[in-house]
Amino acid sequence: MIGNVITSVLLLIASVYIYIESIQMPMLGGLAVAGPSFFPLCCAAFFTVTAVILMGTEIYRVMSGKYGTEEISYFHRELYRAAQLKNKISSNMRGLFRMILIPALMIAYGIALRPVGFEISTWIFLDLTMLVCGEKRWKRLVFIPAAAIAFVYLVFVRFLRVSVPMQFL
Amino acid sequence: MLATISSVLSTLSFGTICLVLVGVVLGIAVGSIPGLTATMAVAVLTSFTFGMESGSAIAMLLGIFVGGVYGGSISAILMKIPGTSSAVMTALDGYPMSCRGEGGKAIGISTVSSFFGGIVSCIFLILGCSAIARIAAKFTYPEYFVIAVFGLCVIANASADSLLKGLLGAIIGVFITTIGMDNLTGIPRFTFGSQNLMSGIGMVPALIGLFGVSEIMNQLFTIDSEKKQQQKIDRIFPGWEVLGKLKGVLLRCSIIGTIIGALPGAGGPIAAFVAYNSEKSNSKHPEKFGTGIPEGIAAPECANNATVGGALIPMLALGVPGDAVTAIILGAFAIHGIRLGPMIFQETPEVVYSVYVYTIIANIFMIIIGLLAARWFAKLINTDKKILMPLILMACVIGSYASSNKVFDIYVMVIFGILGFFMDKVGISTSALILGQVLGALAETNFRSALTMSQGNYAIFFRPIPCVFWALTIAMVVVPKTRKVIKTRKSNKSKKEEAE
Repeated sequence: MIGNVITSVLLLIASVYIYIESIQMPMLGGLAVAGPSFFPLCCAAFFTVTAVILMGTEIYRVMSGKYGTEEISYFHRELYRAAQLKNKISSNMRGLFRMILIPALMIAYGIALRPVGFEISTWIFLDLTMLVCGEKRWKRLVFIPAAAIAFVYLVFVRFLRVSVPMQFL
Repeated sequence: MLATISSVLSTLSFGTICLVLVGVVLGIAVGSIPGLTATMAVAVLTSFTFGMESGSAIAMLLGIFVGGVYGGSISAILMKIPGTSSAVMTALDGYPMSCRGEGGKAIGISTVSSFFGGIVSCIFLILGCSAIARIAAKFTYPEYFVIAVFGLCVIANASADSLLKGLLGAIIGVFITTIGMDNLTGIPRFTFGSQNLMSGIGMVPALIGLFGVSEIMNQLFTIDSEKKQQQKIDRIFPGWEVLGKLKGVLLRCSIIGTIIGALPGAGGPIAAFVAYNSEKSNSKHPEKFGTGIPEGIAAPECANNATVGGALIPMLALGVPGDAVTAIILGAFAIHGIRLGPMIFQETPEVVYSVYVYTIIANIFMIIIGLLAARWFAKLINTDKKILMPLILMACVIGSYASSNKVFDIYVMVIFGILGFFMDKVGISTSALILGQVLGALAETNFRSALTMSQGNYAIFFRPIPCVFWALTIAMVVVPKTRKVIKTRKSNKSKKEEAE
């Protein structure tokens, strides 16, 4: 229920934004029938319809009383599920921390790739992600990044001639 | 005929056969790495062929093509990261099977199915090249638009429990293709003034993010408590009994893949999901698709490898590329002074027959290498996740960067990873999104071009060939739903009667 409601709200926001942007696009003479705004407007219309259907479905389920049981209504059952999910997340804050940190590390890796160079940024990225995943053995923290860097250099850079910003190799 | 056969046999040497083998190995290796596609492999390795004679160059490029299309399934099955967009549907059943410890068997089914699809399409290529090309030549803008709509509806039906959420995923993908410079007018759309967005959102970083990063984010939450799943790698070849049960699937999907491959611009991804949906709709147990069943792997893999032979048909007969890879191969032919098109069958028939023979040899090498190497591929999954996940993440970042040499694509990958994670939680299909991205540009460009051609008359979308696809769309979406409703009503009625 909560997922559908959030999805509906986000779809409505997206469709309003798309509509506002699309009506500002110029309609060029020969393509007046289907200009550059045609498909975005179709997408916005679909998002709006979907948001209304999803929201309407949830309201119907709550109001009709058909989707619950004798003991618990649909609304309370969904609230209970949301509470269970919240407890599951609260009991595994470490996992949540990893889920937030790893994408941040990937973005930092991307930012550092050119100025710092592939070798150093990859070494640091791999060591940090292995530590975050729980790896503590120093031999692995040293040799696995070295092997990975060598592999990428030989396969991507030397053989496939993919341009990767190397600093030393 | 005898003179042609003898000239073809004379081009077959130990050297050219080795080059086919090298091409297949390189294609599999590159295709299995997320971020590197068969198109990239062919494009990069074409330069190696400049110094070779034309027969050798063709042999190697065809090997890369066949290997690259198959290779995408390996990472799809083992890591749920499709190496190529053709392998998106393979991940739906391949990965659950791998999670059960049957990664080797999944790769075996994928390999045999790919081989079957490749060989059947070669037979079609040999027997019907010019005839199929004549039909394909009739496809213009309205036909391609209707094919795109057909594809979007089929994706939506196949990839999600709810048709609405499946369509939503697909339309989000279509919307994403509108970001960037408009193909027809050059007007920037939804770029926020950013130069990086002017070229749109790349398919490769989106693919890697949606499938790779989002799946890893899922696993990061439970990495401490997860029990290590050992892969069963004692039996790779799926067995004649399993293959016997799959024979209908393999035959149907080979034909689907060959026909779709023969349509210029329509490629492996479309063939894979049409085949998947077709089998799911016609199955006695459609609810089992997505849980890790052999049919769910065999259907898309057979179809996407069948597009190889299909894509070569317009390339040879019309001089029109069937997909991006054949566009590059066409260029390679031109570099070697070979002009493709209808006259090739009269002027240089030995080139045509060489293509047939090398494609068959490439498929044979593909099944041998696939079955032999599957054991080693499956062992990768036994690696400690604390090491495997960081390495996969590194490969995702490098793959995204390598696709277009832009750091911006790394950010796109991360954003799509987060988007994919949340989409999965609310039940919106990520495979529908990526396939919507594949079809979105095709749909929009052809729709607008068709309307320009017809001066605004929508009747152009109801010509004979588009009507066939409209009918197929209705058949593939509405009929299974109707059947399900009738079945549910019958079972409710019989339950009521039993209760009375």
